[in-house]
Amino acid sequence: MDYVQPARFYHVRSLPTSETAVSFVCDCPNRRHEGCIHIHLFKTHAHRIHQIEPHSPTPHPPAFLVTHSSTLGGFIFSVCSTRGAGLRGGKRTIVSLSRDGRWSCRSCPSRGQCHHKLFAVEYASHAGITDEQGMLDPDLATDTPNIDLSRSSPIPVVKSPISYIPIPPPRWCHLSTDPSPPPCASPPPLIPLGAHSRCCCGSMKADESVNTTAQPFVVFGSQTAMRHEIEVADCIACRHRLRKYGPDCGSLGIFNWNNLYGFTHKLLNEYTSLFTSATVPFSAFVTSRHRAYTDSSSPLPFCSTETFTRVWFAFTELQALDSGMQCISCGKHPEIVIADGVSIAYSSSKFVQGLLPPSATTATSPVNDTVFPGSSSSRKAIPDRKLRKKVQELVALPSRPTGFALPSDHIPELSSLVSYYLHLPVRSRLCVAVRELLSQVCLFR
Amino acid sequence: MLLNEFVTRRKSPPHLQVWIPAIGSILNELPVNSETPQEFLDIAGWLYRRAHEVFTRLSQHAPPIPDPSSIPPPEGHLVTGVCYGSPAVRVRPKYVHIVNDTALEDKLQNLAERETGDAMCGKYYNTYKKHGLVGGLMVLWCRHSICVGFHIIPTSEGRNDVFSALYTQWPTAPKVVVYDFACQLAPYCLLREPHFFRNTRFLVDQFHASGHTKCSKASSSTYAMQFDPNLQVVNTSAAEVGNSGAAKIRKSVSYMTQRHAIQYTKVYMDVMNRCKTRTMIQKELA
Repeated sequence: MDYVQPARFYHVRSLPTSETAVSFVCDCPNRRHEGCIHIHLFKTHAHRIHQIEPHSPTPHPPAFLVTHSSTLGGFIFSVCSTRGAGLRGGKRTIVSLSRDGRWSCRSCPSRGQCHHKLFAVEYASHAGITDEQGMLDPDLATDTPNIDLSRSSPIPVVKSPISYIPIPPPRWCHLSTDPSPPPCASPPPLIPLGAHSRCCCGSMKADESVNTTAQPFVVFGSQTAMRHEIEVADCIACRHRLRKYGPDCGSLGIFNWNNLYGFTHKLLNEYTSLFTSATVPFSAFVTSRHRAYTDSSSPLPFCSTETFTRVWFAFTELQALDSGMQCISCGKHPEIVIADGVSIAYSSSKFVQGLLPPSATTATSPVNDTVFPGSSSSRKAIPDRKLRKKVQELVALPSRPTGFALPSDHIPELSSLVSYYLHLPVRSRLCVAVRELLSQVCLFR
Repeated sequence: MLLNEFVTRRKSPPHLQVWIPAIGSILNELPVNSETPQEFLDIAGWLYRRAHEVFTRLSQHAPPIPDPSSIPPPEGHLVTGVCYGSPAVRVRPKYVHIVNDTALEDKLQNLAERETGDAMCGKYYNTYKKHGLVGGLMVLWCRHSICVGFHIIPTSEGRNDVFSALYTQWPTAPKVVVYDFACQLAPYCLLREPHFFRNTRFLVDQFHASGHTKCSKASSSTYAMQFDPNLQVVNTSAAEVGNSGAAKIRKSVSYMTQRHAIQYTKVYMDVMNRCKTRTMIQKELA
């Protein structure tokens, strides 16, 4: 059954094909199929849709506000997709402004630069949605949503894998401080509901007897997929036909994803092992598994990259891999620290507010008003710049000049050392050492 | 204090050359049992007085006693991007009398050069930042190449990242800090927290030491190693080794969401730490 998804917006354009006929084009993912639900709505209820007040007084504005709802993700703007054609009614795209002030564009999900956002930013500024600094109006940010979807949907928002018991780290990186991993039993044909069973909403199966059913369960291994059956029961918290209590399966070495698919710990640990040894993106690993499955004539193909990525992150979140960020010899706060920045980074467009690096200061940070740095020269060993330069020039010379002297009234100790340096015997080994001392004194800050 | 002791006793303390190699190397060149020339005693006395004067002027405050209970518990590392072995013990203060206290590095370096008129070592932080990506990671390693913490840099790397990480996470300052821009990190840290960092040595690692042509050897780890046997066993380029290993995840992370990038990096660091710990234990047993 097809249905309109809430919190998703698509553009449907009507294009006249003759004097009387009109065709529709939708940019939803199902547009390639035989007519999507949106086009179907336009065709069957055209007269009603045409009665709706237009959002914008002009036919094809660069940007306009479609709706504002925190449930739907903040402010939803329709923006022309291409500069020239878009202004005359060409393709459009959706740009949204979330409550935390983050802009996102559907057409440019991962690119740093997006020209669609510019139209929406300009519109939001003119409409008073954002202020002069581009910050979201705080009153609007906390506005009551105009559609309360949560009321119409009893399904809890939290969704997590069925497995929830911490998983021990793999043997190849197991430490003596870790609990020893239990031996894994091979899964039976029907995996029963046990004491450790729960639903993806987080609700644990109560002890009382519930009606159980068996359903197919596919377990993805390293070389092949295996068909099993799993015992499930309706979740009393969700009351949704697709959400059921299922066994944790951790003792069987299986990560239960959604009571339909499971992944062996061995497979997921294999990716951990590979990406920490060489550059192996998720897609490369999935491709290699596809080939291995083909080789072993697996009854089912391997899952998609997207699914595997989601499963692996959920798995490692559960796995007790934490090393404590400490050295067994130096501890958590070593006396010798080696610091270095490394350019491992994600896209700026994926930046989410909330990062709190140690260097960040906020309005509540303590204020230190006792440090008066003064000028930079006043902190140097030789505050007088001319004198400093003169000594620097002296030590930069390959051989010691004759007739060089520093004014003795500035720093007499320095003048006497310079004089000592100049009068050292020609082959004295002290020359190099004294020159180095003078050099360090000049450059001391 | 060592300098003062040297001047008062007219005799070099045995560990003077470890802490002040420039004077130590001079004394090593003098004939055995000979008198220390008055010029060296004078310059040492002047250096002591000058250092004491600057230190006293700057150190008008002591760092607060670590009190983790005064710091609100942070959200998880997946949100904050901060992952260290223990919770922060302090919060970085705002130094209101330091102009551009938290400004980006390029601006700070230009200001310093303009103010003093001296050529200084520079680090082109922005060239490391990839276009369209966030600033990167600041990783702290121990001398065994074990990662003892990291945090996400939102914009671009700077000395503030190292200073703040040490100040907020370490109950007492480390004895040695090795950093590729240590010659400028030392004044940065000592200006803000002279009490906290008074016994810390800032050294440029061996890998980058040859590139420092505008600063003295005082911050070169290669030079310091000649006089300090304890440093000879330290692989100052441990961070380079660790970072080159971490480059394996660079491509994958560049396509990830913030949350996934933090988790992926954390898993990588944890696994590498575990593997190195196992190797250390095996070597000890052998």
